[in-house]
Amino acid sequence: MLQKSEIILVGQCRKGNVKAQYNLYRLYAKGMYNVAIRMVGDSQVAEDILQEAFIKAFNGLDKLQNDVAFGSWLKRIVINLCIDYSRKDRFVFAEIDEIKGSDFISEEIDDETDPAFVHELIKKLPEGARQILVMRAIEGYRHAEIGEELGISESTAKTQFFRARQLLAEMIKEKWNEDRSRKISERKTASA
Amino acid sequence: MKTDLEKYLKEKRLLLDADQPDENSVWEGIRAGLAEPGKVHANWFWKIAAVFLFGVLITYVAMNELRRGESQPASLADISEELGKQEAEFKKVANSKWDQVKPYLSEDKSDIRFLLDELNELETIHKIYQSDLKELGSNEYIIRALLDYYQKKIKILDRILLEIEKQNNYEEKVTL
Repeated sequence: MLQKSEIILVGQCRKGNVKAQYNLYRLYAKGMYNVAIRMVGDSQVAEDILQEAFIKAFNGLDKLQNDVAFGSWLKRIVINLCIDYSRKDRFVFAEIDEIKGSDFISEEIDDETDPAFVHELIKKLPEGARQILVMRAIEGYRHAEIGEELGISESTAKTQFFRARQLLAEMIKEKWNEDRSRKISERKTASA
Repeated sequence: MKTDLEKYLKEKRLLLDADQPDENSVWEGIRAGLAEPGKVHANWFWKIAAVFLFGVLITYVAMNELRRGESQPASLADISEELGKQEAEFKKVANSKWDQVKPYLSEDKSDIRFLLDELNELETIHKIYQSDLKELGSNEYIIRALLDYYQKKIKILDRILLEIEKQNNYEEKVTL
């Protein structure tokens, strides 16, 4: 049902219907904004990208062959704009190596971990790591695609994805431990 | 319960979207951005209109030139019979004088060199006036300049003939 109304909206947008454009925007704004902010890590830049992506999408609807695919097409636009933005300040993938050593960290986390908390930590990852993690683990890009989009080899994409996961797992654990220590000291203070 | 990070991220994909954009201000930006192509279309309209008008202008000028080329005079005779007669008379005199000068051109021309140069310059100017006549049509200034050309040409040819005569007289005196 939702898909059908979406198709209708896309059709109306093709005719330049402003109301349809607004409704379609409202439908996707939050999701696309979150994709952008995870990719670029900055709210202002993410909003700019969101705006640019919708303008590009509404102006380029003729290029969209299948109206059902509007969402994934729009997401592609958002991700490409994020990559373009990062190219302006070309990030270095090696920075991940410098941050952490080579000890293997377990990537198992508590199932009850708050997703919003993980989302916050993803935003804090170094740029190269953040983009690869988002593209692969959240948006489902293949390593070859990531390599192509970011201008790196497939094997580099795989290695960097592994390091990005390790880094995020460590950040989650550190934060988890911090919170646990804080709660323990709060309990001690309360009982005293 | 523990779970793999990658699996967690996939499963909680939608719950990760915790941030909220400033939807109204972004929408305003989108609206403004979408309005710009309208301006672009307007610009395109004016560009197309300008190209069209330019095309019309070029066609008009070309047609005008073509028509003018067909009706413009090539010589003074095309303007009036009287001017044609006058021109023919001047040409006849000038040609006759030139025929007298020609036999001496193969000899050393150092004495008359400057006059021949002057004659060449006059011919160049005459060609310009002739093309002006074709282009601009009957024009008092051009008619006068063309008649003046023949008069000047005849004068120069007279001076050349005089110089030749002087030279001949001198040579005769020397041989005597």
